[in-house]
Amino acid sequence: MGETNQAELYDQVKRMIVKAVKLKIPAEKIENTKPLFGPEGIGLDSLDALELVIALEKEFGVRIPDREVGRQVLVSVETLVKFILEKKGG
Amino acid sequence: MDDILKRDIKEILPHREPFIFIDKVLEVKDGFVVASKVIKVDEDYFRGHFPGQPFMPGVLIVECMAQTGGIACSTLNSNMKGGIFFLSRICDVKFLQSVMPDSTITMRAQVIEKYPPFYKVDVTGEVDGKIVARGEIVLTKQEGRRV
Repeated sequence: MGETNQAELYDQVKRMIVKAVKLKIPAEKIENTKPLFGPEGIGLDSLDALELVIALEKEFGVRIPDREVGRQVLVSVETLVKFILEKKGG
Repeated sequence: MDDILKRDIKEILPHREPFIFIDKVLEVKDGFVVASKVIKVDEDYFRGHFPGQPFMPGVLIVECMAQTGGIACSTLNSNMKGGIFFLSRICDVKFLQSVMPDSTITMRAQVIEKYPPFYKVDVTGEVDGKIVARGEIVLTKQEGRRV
């Protein structure tokens, strides 16, 4: 995947997060490596994980099968993008 | 799974009086349940909601649907045991008609997504074939707290 396409994917994932959990901050303000959850994060709570799992499948056709995988993937925008690319063979 | 239809509701639900909001389970499939509750004239909450104009509070209709949703979630476990489902989120529930005393509310619950311990459930409540409430809820399973 080219750099432009990858940048677009990062933006797409950020927009997905904002929409899925009704985040109060704009997508462009989310840093790629900033944690999604926890006190240092962008403000997601544990219930938001379910919304992200649903949104990932709906928008990108990739499924997080269980919490084991979720713990590694639902970390930051960057880990989400890597997971999508891995699943899509990008 | 059909044996659930013959079981006492207290064997199915972890709730106890005065907070059991299902009388009967009518239908059960993987992730799907239909249940009912007779709303009696002498339900205690009618004394205050409202004096002279009784109808069932919306939050209690949600509770009826949530308890049905809990059973729907438990059908996804082979033994239907091993946890309590807590209501964690109420998403865009609409109340379309009042539920009056001396009526029977029928609840339907379909699990539409799961990411354990979280389960998203599509729920409806009907009286006389008319939908009185509908929406989505999220239930969270807490392991090992089954009564």
